[in-house]
Amino acid sequence: MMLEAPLGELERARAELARVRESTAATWSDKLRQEFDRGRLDPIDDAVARLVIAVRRAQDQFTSAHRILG
Amino acid sequence: VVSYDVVRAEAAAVRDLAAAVTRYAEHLRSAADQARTDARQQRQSAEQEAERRRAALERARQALDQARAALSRCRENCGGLQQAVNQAQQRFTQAEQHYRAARRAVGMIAGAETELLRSLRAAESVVTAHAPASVKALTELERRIREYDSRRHEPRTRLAPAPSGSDAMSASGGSGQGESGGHAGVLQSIAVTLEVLRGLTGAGHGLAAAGYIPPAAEPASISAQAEDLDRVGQLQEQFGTKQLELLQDADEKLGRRPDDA
Repeated sequence: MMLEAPLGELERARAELARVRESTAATWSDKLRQEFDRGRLDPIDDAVARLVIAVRRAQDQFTSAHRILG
Repeated sequence: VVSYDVVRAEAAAVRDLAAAVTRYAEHLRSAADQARTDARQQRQSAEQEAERRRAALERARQALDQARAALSRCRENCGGLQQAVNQAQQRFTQAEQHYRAARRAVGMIAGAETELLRSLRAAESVVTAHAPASVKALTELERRIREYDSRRHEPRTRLAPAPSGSDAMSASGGSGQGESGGHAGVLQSIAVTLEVLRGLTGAGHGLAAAGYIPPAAEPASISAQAEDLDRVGQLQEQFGTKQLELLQDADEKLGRRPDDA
């Protein structure tokens, strides 16, 4: 399927970051870690989460276009 | 009690997190490149198909024109030519529909590509802004934690003065191990805790300077964190001193040496 490879890579990247975030959640001070998560990690994860949605939407549109082409 | 083992574990965790953020940015770059290539190929493929159908439509138009011309020259028994015109007209209409569908598909794919490129730029912009700053800050944090970890090999003499004649009570140096018994063990634990707390507080200040936290979110909470840790440190120091005085007093009354406790 079109865009399947990049979509898979994005989802793997998100899963890996989530795993490392989880495994290192208890590091240093809670306050610092929460601020780091909120200030740095959440934005990059949210950005790629939105990108995954955009890629899926593009996939749907490409599929519809191919259906029109026949 | 925070121990140096915990500090080393935190340094490793910070390093793992930095590596994960680096890989995350690399995955995004790779995926974005692939997505751009895929989308461009989809559009080019659809454009080529539309061009092929445009050429087919042109051929159908010429065939229709020729059939009509032949019919217009016909004076008698023109039924076959009329049938040829009808068939050419049908093929032309079909070719026209195919071409229109291809144009519509090209429009859809081009629109999807534009939207996708916009989303890719937005995601790359955010990750480009945050990932290097995160890695830099985490690297700085790991360096500072390791710096404090390395102090376990240095003499620790900051605590309350030990009673005279009791070297073991000075909470000093060596490997920091093997002093778990008696008052010295208590003070050793407090000393380690204080150093770790101060180290992490210092690391926190360093993180703010290194861009660990975006400017808007940085100052107040970091300062509050540092103040909290300083207060904890002061209390523990006071507690240690007071506890030591009480224990010394009790030892004197019992006529024991301090480390017999």
